[in-house]
Amino acid sequence: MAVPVTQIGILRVLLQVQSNLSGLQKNMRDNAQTWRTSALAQSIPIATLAGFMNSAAAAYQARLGWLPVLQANPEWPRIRDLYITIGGTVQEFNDMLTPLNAVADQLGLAPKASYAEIISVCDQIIAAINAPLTLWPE
Amino acid sequence: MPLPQGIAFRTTLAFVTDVSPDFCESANMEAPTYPQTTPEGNNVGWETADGATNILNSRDRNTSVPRLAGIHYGIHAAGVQEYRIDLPSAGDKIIRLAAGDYSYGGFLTNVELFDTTTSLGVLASATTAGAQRYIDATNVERTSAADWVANNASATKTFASTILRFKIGTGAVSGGLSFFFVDDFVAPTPDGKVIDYSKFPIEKLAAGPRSLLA
Repeated sequence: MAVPVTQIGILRVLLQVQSNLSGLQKNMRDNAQTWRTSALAQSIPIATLAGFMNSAAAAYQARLGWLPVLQANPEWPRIRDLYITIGGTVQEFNDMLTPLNAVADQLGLAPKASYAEIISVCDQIIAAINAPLTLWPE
Repeated sequence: MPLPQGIAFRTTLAFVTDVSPDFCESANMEAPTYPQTTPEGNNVGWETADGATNILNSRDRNTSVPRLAGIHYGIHAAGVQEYRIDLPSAGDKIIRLAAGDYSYGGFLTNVELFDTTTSLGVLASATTAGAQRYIDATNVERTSAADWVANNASATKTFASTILRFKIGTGAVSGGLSFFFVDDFVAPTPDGKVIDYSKFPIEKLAAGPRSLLA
């Protein structure tokens, strides 16, 4: 006998959406700062660093792709409605996705043939993506 | 490209400086941390949420060897915590780990590896005999941090999927670890020689020879 999809299951997915999007915001900013530090110190070969950044761009795209898949799921209206219950709006999902998608796209396409170019794209990411609100120091 | 990937487990990111390919798993343990994208481009993190028995704790210990700077460990004997690394590809992988506590002996390890949900075996089950001792991926106790760095042995496992998981704790005895590392297994060289990676300390691999072999 299958376990029914209750509000417990709906809440679980909503919390996964929260974890994914706020975590992505943090990862994009933290990783850009890490790559920038490596590029400034020239501690990692350019090709290796560029490979890391391209892999991260793909990982970001994969994570960003989960929400549109969820939005096509028959259970999405329940998830959306639960979010609205706590004061959120559907528009907020788009408001979060827009800058994150822009960075994921930019990161994959940006030239990374020199340390200067890598630093430049990192600076753009750090400028575009603010740190998420946090209760404890991160 | 995204492998190798190291995961250093401790409480505080700033406690030591990690060197690529190491990522610090320092996040607050009150919620699952998966997914996090590492600077190397891999999605990783704890999948287990804290609950009545699944309570994970962490410590910062010593800065002398960044990979061994801290620990994550289960508090309750019945707790089993699950960590996930999304691999860029299936196939043969080299696994290394350090499970031990810089400050105390009697550290329970109990690290079991999974290919998605299929067990690939228990990598570490021994308990450390003293402080600054670390169990490696072949369940051998290394008698100091320096001994672990110089002599830790790897395990080679074959993944049919691209989801690597390991669990700490058996459900009856808790577990923990300091460091986990995964890399692609490199096939024998054209002259037929098989490189025994277990003979190489990973710091040296990361520093030079591996780039010639990759």
